[in-house]
Amino acid sequence: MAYYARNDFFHNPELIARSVDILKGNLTLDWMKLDIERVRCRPSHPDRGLVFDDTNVGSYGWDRIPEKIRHNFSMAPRGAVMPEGLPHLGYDINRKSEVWSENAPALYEESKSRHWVPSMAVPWEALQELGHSEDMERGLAQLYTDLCCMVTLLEDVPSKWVWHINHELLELKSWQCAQMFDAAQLADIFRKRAIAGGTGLGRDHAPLGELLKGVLDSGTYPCASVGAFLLLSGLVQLLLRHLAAVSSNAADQTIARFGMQDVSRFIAYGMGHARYLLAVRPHEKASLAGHLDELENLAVGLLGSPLFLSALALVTAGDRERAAGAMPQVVRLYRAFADEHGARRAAAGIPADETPLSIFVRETLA
Amino acid sequence: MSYYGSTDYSYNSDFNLRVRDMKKGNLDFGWLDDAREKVEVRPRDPRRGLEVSDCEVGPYAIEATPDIVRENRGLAPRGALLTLGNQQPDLGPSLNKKTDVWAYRVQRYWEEAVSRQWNVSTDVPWQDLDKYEISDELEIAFCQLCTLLSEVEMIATDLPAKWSHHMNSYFQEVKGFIATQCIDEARHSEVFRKRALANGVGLLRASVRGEHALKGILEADSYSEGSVFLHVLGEGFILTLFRSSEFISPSPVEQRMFQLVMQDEARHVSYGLQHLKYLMDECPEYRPQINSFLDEAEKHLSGLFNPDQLESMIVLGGKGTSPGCIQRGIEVVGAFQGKQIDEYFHRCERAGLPERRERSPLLELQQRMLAAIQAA
Repeated sequence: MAYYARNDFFHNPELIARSVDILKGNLTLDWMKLDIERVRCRPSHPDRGLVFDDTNVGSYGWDRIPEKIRHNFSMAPRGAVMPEGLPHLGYDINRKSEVWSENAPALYEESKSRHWVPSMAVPWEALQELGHSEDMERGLAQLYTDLCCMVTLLEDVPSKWVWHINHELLELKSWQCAQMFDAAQLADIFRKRAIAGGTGLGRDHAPLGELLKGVLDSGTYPCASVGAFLLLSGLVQLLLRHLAAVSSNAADQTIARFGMQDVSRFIAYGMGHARYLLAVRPHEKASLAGHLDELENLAVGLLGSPLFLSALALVTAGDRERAAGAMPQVVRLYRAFADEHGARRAAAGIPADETPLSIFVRETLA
Repeated sequence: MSYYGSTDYSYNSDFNLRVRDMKKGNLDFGWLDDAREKVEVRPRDPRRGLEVSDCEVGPYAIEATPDIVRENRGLAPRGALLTLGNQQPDLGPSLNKKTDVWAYRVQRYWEEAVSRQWNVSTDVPWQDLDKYEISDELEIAFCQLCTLLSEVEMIATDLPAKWSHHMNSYFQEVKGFIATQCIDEARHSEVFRKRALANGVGLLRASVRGEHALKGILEADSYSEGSVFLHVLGEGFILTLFRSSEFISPSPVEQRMFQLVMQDEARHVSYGLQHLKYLMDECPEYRPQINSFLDEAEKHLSGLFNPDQLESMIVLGGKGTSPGCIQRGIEVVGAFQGKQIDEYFHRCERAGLPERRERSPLLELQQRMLAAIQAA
């Protein structure tokens, strides 16, 4: 065991005696006399029920969370009375701007209200008649394999950081749990889809692994956040949009539609977080830009890898023979990705000129 | 940044030439010739759709995975073809033995968790709170209980999250289940927080002793130790507490809350139990380690019997603070506490640790409590 409390409660006669005393009927009821802020939070809109926003009141609300949290390192709920002796649970992300986004509570609520059940929502029977060639199916299976790896990373990033985050930021931590769940569900669905198509999962490949490792090993949470939720989530969204466009199969259409809806929330959070951070700490702009440049370099490695590029060309054309002719469409797709990502960078306040991705699209793919 | 890719593509002329070549249509489709086993998967039960167990075929089945996963160091799903040798970037998974994380029936728990998600905002009939008259002392007592529950539930997100990203991606069902647990527990923390803030009182006092128990869970040395503390011991106790709390709830609104959280909590306990059982079956050599860990963990857990929680439950159980009410409340809570410990021992037996009933320090606590009730 790693942690032994200073006070061995179990053998503390005073504490045991207190519990026994209570069971003998000698209650102090001192907790009934605590001086607390009394509130009555009710749904502001009956259709939405009691959402987090309705509880953002007084000392219980997130508006009162200070930028530097110095008063609570335990799991005591924000706004509760904190007795002396609460232990430090090891949180080392104690600055609100490091993780916060003003849209996090709403994204959490949206995630719950838009929950879908993939095993039931996807018309799996549609895969019995694929409606496309076996080559095309192999290309799709390869891209679903890549997508599975990508969203597994989108599950791992919040998992790596959430337990470091001060519990005062409850709504943000809850949102990260929703992200983990949404991403795990997508990983499951992409894997099932690749297997159910009959040709099986595709190949893991180094350029994708390099990009994922770059994001996962980001040294700070803000760096991991922009990598995962601006860059990588943007790529996932783009790929899903493309799969919806090239596959006429109802299963693919459904997966893409729900998947885009989920991953759009990730992007919204990534944008919101970067904006919030840079509004509070504008000097972080340079480090975020430098980090995103490094990750874009790894993304360029993936976009230019023979396996990824040829799989995209294949699914765009529908078969191997016509794939070469689909290259202009793939280049347009890459341009769209670079444009969208560049626009997001700029909107978030991160310099977006002459980035590796924009240079790649402008020069190499010219 | 901790990791820079091995290649700077901006200054790599070979890369740029190759991309330009591909752009002209010179594509390599060698990967299409990879030998793959053709599989046919269909939903076994159309009402449940395509479940992960339906995909347990050929190279995709967990049975096809060795007990120690050595070859996959990245995020490839189980059954994907791997990059040869050390070309695959190492993402550093450290839980690579199946016995580190696996549980009997975990695939079923995953599917169940996905299909049984609920929404605190809309599935609890908040609008009905006005229909029921709850006295101020009962409302305060319920808010004290909600404070403790909101406080302890999030440990069950932090602990699984702490280990999930260390799990090899071949154990996707476990990672998935862990993610469902994180969202379930975030929801539990949310529902108790919202309830405390909804009816004219608010959050009351946090628990020092409870927090030390949470720290003990979070800082467990291994995933299995953390799991047995969290899932079997901690959540097992909380599950019994939920059941009792439903019984002493001041109105049907709170009863509904507890019904919803119980179904999630029961799943988490089951996973922990089945992981412990799997570990005991496959690695009996871990038994002394788990037992010695539990000896200490059970002492930590006595922290959950904190005076504020005990008193608030007595008030709720007796429906007031008059001497008669307190006496009734003590009977209710005493019965529940005995049950809490008994159910825990029963779970340990099912998981293959029957010796807990003999060696547990909780027995001493139980005897003292029972003696106190009899004397009262």
